[in-house]
Amino acid sequence: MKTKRILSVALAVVLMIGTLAFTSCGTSAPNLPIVCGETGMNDLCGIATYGVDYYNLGVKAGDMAADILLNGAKPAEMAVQGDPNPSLSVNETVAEAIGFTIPESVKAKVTGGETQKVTRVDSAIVNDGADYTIGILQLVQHIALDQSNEGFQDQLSVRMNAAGKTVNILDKNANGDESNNTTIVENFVSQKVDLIYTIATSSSQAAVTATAENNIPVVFNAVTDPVDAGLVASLDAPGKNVTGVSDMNPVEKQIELIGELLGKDTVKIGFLYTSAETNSIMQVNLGKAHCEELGYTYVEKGIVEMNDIENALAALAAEDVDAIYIPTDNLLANACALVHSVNIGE
Amino acid sequence: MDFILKGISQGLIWALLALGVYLSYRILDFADLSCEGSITLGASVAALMVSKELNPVLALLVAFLTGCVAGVVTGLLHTKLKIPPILSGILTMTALFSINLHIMGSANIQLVSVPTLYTSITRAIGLNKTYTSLIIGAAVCLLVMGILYWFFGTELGAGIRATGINEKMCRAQGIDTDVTKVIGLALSNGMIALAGAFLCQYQGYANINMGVGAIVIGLASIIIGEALFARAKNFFLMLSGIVVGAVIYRVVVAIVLYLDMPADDVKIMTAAVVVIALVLTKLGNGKKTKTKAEKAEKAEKGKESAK
Repeated sequence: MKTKRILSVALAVVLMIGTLAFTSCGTSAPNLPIVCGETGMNDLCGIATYGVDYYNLGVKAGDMAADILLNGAKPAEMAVQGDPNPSLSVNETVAEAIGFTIPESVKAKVTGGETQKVTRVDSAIVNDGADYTIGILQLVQHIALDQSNEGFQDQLSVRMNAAGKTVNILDKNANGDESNNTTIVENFVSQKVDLIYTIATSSSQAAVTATAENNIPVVFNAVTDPVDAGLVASLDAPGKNVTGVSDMNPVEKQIELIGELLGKDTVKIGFLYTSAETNSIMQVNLGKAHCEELGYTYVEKGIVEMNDIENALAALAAEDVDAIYIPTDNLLANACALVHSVNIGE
Repeated sequence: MDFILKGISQGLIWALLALGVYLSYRILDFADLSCEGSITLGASVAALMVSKELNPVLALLVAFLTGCVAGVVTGLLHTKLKIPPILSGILTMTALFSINLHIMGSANIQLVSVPTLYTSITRAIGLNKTYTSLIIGAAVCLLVMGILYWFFGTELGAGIRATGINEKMCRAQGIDTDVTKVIGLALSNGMIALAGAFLCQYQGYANINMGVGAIVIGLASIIIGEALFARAKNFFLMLSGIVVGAVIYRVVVAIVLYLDMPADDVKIMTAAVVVIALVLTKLGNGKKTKTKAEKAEKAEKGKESAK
């Protein structure tokens, strides 16, 4: 009995020392260059990226909605849109903080500055007696999704004003609660709105289910793969009452950007993403495939929750990666500031 | 008013979850937190089967059975490995997150382009989806309540109830409380998974995060139901109270979301409305509810007059 007890105490001590040793490995700052899937995230923790601009995607969706309402365009025949010309942006503040110098060749490619915003015409948005009523369902508060909502409303107000019409906008947010998605779109259907604008995949799926019987037009945004999500039959010919804008980011261009930034032909990339998010997995798979084409090596770290970020970064640093790639990922988009402070060791 | 009807039909689905939570939390007196995992488990299994165009009713049954397995795991963690109830539930819930991802193969399965229980029945009987889902929800709730009422009248069911009331006394009477606990938890999680299986077919997708907040909905439904039927002695009436509680909760949420208010305030408003509803029902019942002593006195008199 006694030896057994001594053995188990010894085991516990060894385990504790092991854990301590393991965690202390991660306490030195990784200071790794990070390339993110989109510009909003890049502003907080990345050094440079090619990004689709969610505000511009929102503007595009606003145009589609206006075409449907004002010109009688059929969603079934309107191809899903994307951002054809993603713009490069660099973040010197983060680069400086991690002690990285962005090559002049990359800086020279930066074209755009601030997003050119559409000036909202407030008089076109009214609460009573509007010509059209629109329901907006946004899954959760988050930089990119907020921007696509803002761009949509700005552009729609401009188009409505130009046509001499007014619109009533019912702007709802599911606050990240999946069960509210269905409730909100069903409310829209009861209120007989003229069009539903949905932001994020599951909100769009709930809207498609709720409008199957009544054919209220649905315009979606911030969906990376609308075909896989069951929203449209194909990107060119959606087929039913649903069309919209895809936020697929230029993963391949972003991976190539890492090589350019580091000025090396072969690099080792660490993919950091949330393993529970379909969109993230798809982007990481695209990224890995492109790495193989370019002859880059890679490792991947899928996380489940915010608490995993510190360990994941430490693990990637321990694998000697040259840079980290974070796809457009809901969890990590909300945790960019944390990623940055862990990266610089604060 | 249409949106109220839709709120009710969603409430009838959540009622299955509330009944499941009631079974573990109140009848078995076991605070089982695996609920958030098992509702997603039911949804994952059902969504996977429905997306492969298997029979939606078969999907419900399989979802129920996998939910039962999850319940058995929680039960065994508690009874055999002596892990405290709350922790056993949390462990199962945590493990289920990975399992659900493996079942679905990704974080989201769409059921938009395949026939589900609701679309097939809607097509078959020719009513619109709102009425169809109301009928399905009401029928399923009545059926489940009937089965529960019967089951808790049997010797095994009575054993489960007794376990929740006084476990030591139960063992003294020769009831194996480990067995009754495992069976009770299996049934509870099976019903929660069944709710998930209905829910994913109703909303047209299953998502890995759809269980978030489920335990809150379940507990709120129970508390609203108990406040409404505070004096109910009949077990069937108690069960109806839970169903009504779930329906009220979902209708309240639907109304809060319907109202014109900043999106950021929706959650606090939902909480506030539930608090108001509870206070009102408590005030209403306060005068009528008799104290335990009065009840005992009345029962005593009843016995005497019977003699």
